[in-house]
Amino acid sequence: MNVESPNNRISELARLRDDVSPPPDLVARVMTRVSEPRFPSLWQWLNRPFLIEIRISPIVIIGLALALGTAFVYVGATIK
Amino acid sequence: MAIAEIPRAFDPGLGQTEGSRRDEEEIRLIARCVAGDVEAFRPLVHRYQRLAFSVAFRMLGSKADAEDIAQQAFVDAFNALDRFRGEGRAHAFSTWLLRIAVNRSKDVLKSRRRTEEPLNREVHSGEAAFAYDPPTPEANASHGERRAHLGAALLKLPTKYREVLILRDAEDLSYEEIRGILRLPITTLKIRVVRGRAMLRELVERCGVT
Repeated sequence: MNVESPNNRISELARLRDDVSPPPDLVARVMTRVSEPRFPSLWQWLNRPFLIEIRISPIVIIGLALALGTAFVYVGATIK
Repeated sequence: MAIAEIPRAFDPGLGQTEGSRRDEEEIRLIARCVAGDVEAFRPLVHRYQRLAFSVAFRMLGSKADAEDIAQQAFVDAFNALDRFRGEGRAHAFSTWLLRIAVNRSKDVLKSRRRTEEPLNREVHSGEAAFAYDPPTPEANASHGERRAHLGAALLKLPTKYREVLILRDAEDLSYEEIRGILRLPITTLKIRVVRGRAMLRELVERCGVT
C-alpha cells in the first residue's frame, strides 16, 4: 500500500473520505428534531417572564387607599 | 434556500473571498435560526452532514453510532446557536460543530470502554515506523479492501492519535482548524500527527496490509 507522500502523510487516509456517505434521511431527521417543541431547562423556566393582570375598579382603589391611610394613622398614634 | 454540499468541509481550493463569503452566509443563516426560523438550519445540516458523519464514523467504526452522533451534534448545535460566537473566525460554525461531534464520539468511546473489553493498544512507535518501506508489491487486495484494512487499523489507534489523523489526513483540515476543534496547542497536534502516522504504519505493516 502506498502510504507515503511527500509531506509524510498517509495518502490512503484521504481516500477513506469517499468510502462513507451519510444516510440519505439524516437532514430530514435532524430537521424533524429541531422543529419539535423543546421543554425548557429549570433555569430557563425560572427566568421566563410572565404577565400579571390585576383588574380593579376605582371604588376598590379608593377603599384600599382609605384603609391604608387609616392603618398608617393608627400605627402612628400607637407608636406615640 | 439551497446551498450545494461541498465535497470537503474546508475546501483548500476555495479562495479567501469564497471562504469568507460562505462564512458570512452561515452567520446570516445562524442569525435567522436564532430569530426563530428553523428552516434556515437546513442548508447548514445539508452542507456539513458528510463531514460530521464521516468524522464520527472514523472515530467509532460503527455507522449506526455515527448516525446518532452526527444527528445529535446538529441538534446540540441548534439548541446552543444563541451562544455561538463566530467572532469573524474562518470556518467558525463547522469547527464548532466538529468539536461537538468529536466530544460526543469520545463520550461513546468512554462508555464502550467501561462496558466492553479494551482493545489491544500495544502499539509501538519506534523509529522503524518512520522509515516505512512498502512491502511486496504483489498486493492483490482491491483498493476497497485496503482502505477497509486501513480504516480498521485506524480504529486500533488510541483516541488522541486517531482524532488528529482523522481531522488532518482523512479530512484534510489545517492545524489551525484542528486547534479550534480539539483546543490543543499546534505543537501538541503536530507531535500527535507524527506519532499517530507512525503507529498507523506499524499497525498496517503488522496486519500485513500491502
